[in-house]
Amino acid sequence: MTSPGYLITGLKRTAVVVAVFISFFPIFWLVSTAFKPYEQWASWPPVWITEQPTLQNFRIVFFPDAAREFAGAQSGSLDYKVSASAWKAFADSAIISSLATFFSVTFGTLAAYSISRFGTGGPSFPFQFLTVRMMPPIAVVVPVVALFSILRLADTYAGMVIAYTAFTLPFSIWMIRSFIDDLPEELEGAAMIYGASRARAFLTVTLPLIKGGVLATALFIFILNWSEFLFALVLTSGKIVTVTLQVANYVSASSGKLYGVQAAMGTVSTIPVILFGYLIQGHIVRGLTLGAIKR
Amino acid sequence: MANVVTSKQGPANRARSRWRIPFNVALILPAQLTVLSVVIVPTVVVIWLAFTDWQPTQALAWYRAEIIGFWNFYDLWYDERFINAVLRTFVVVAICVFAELLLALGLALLFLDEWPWRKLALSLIVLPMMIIPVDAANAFFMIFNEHGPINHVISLVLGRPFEFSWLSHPTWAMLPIMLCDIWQWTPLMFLLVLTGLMGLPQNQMRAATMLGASPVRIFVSLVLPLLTPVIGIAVLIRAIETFKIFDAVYILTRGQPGGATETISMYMYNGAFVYFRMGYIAAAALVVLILVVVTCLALAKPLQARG
Amino acid sequence: MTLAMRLELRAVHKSFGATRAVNGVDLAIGQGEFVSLLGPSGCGKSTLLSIITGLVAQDAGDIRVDGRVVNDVPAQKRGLGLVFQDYAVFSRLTVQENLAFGLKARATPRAERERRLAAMARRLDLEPLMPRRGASLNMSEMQRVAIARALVVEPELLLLDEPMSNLDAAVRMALRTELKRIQTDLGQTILYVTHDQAEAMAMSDRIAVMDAGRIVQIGSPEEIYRRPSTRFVAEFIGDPPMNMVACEVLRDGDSVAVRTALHGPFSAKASNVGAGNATLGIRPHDVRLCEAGSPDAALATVLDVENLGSEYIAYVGYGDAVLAAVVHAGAVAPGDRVWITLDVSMLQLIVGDDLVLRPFSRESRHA
Repeated sequence: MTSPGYLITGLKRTAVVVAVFISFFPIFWLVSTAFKPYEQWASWPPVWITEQPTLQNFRIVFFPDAAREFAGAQSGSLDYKVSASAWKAFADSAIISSLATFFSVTFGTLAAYSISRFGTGGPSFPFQFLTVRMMPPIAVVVPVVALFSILRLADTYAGMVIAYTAFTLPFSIWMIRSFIDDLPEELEGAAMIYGASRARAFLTVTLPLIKGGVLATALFIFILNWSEFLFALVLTSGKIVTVTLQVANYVSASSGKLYGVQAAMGTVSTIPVILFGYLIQGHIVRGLTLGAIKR
Repeated sequence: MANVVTSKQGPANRARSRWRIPFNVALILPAQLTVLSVVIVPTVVVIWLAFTDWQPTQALAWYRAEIIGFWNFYDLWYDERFINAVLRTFVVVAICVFAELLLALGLALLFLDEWPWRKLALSLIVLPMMIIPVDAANAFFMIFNEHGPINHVISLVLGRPFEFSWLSHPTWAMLPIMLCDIWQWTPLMFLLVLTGLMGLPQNQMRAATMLGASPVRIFVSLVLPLLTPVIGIAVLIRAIETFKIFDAVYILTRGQPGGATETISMYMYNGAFVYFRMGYIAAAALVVLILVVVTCLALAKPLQARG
Repeated sequence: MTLAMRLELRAVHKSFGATRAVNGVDLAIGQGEFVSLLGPSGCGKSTLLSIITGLVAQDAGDIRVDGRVVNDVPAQKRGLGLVFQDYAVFSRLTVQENLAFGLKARATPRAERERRLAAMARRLDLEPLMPRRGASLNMSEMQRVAIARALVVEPELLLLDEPMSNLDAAVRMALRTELKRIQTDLGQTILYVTHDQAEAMAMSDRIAVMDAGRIVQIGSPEEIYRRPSTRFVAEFIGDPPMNMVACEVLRDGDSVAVRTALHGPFSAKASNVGAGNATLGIRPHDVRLCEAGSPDAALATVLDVENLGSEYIAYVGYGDAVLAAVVHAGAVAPGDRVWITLDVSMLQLIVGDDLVLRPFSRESRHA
């Protein structure tokens, strides 16, 4: 291969630097603002990196005393939604996301096995799946709200877990199915020749082999649950607060001027997602493209 | 599972198994039930509601709501706000997906060869995908603030203070929303296109070079056709997801100013949970669903043909 | 003044790290010649091919096409054609578009393009395949498309990289003939890279035998076969391979006498061979069965017989040596005692790795 001119290489490198900068910048700004003291939140010209970093914003997010103190220091009071501690939001999100992930992956694995080995649901399964994804959740959510209020599930953990499980099931079924498809059927056949039942073969042979895939799927589903916003917005009315809701609350409170606090909440809430995201980087592509593309 | 019998049991057990649920159905049952109750049943209810005028504020149970036949659809047809929301969303989808595709292609070409720091740059480029959408919107909210970095940079370029309030401007407020979507999801497109590019048959490229083709010609006549399946899937998936855009709209503008940034989802949210006209919104949902399905089929047809 | 050679390589070197893939290669190919680059896997012939095409840059040395130096000319501008081992037919384009590709890249006017396409399609029997997509063809169809595609742009030199290795035997024979026919019809200069010596022998005007990054001998098939210049060439060429028997060289003035387990000794006029151990080579085709009592016949035992279909190989034990001999069907069976004789004029003396001497004459029948 004849070597490219230095000019082209230089341009390419510059383009990459620009791309990386753009990718990183909003996150940088978020984190930087989280450490800014109150006066620098919306100063002009804006402060890019503060020389007086403070943990005050984080304290306000997590400690109601600090929040009240802050509200007192600024004229007026803080919206009640944000004066509560964000610990609750993290706890609620953690509980709901974990439970929903558990159910989603469990039900999903069973269903995936059924679809993969028995062809349940017919050959049009991919198409069905895609159609389900096409429905705007906002549409489905209306009767769900009605249903939940009748069943007294509105604004409850149980209700949220059920909703999230249903919402992520297509993904877990899809992803785990592709892992099971990768295993030849003869493996279970071999176990069954020795007298094991289907169920046993599945538990002792298949399951251990797809462990990695199931784990990756679980992390992916967890990310989906943790990041979910719409259902949380609509299906709760104050008793349950997820981190996404809390972020939204900070933005709308005080006409959206709580930049530092917003940023602090945003920074902390997104950490688990980034972590898990990097862990399962390869599988994200598989999941988000419905298994169409395998890395 | 204890009482579920496999179909491979001998004849003596068949009599017993006739009354049990087949194994494969039992497996799929929990998933089916959940999806049924939270997705399927509500969808059916939506179809019902679409022909009623249910407004929860009237303290009527939904199944007792007043049936008004096709009036909702009639109203929708003349509802400017709805039509605008639909058109606006289509435009947003078109712009965002197209922009994401172009950027993804460009980036993928840059990352095709090996060069120092490539791995590091790769993990940074995919960072936007890993942020909670609400947080991304949060970040963009602050960036496009009157006193935010964007305005700051523009001020430096213009040489005079530029304190434009992006999110309050009817025409320009859509920009931060679209940029947020593009910023967040270009990495996904990029990964897809890159995978596609890396899987290209190298020898075909070399053969084209030997035949005298310039890199541009190779790209246009050879690479693009080879990438069509990958690009097709990526575009389809992103289009479906972008139609539903909500988080960024809610956080950044709520559809304001004056409905200027109202997308379909925002419109329906406002209609259902602010104005509580759920029957009407159910009808809107049906219309939107049909539109989306039709559009996606139209996009997917050429895909099917190419295999 | 000689015509410029189509291709000239001078002192071409290429290393990958510590490995010398191409270690000083000189080669010249004239207009209309069919030259094979023959060698075992790993000898560097594919690397050399990549260097000639321009897809890989050499570390040192010159490459000239039609007299002009192309060291710095990119691959697409060298005027060479290449047929890949896996054909690399453009899978998403039709056969028609495949063939037209190179012509379009050169902005050939439409009328000319169609004319050349039609002619080439007819020549290689591709007309019924024109609307088919590249991915839907079978191996031999792909090969014809790959060849047609490369030829239609009328390259100075056509290079082929082991194009027959993916095909089964019957198809191979047919394509061999076809390729040769095309070459003579068009007067196309060809460099054919292969590890199959039967192929090279059958098709080439000249063969360049390559080993460990070097071209060890260039010559007509006849020369290579009858007068190999190194041990490697002697062993590599010929199927079944040459018999190698250990021997001892004794000097006698300006002649040498060679003493071996085979009946001999043999003598030859040679001033540059020292006394010591050496190897005697004789091809199985030159070891013949004969009648008892024929001149120079020797008694041997048949150890094994191999049936190759067209001919049989008998492995005969003679003293310590085992020789392979080509015999007719059913002529001998294991255990038989037979008389064999050697064609002395075909004996090769191999000293060390590369000194090969012939001819010999028989000195006396018994040592």
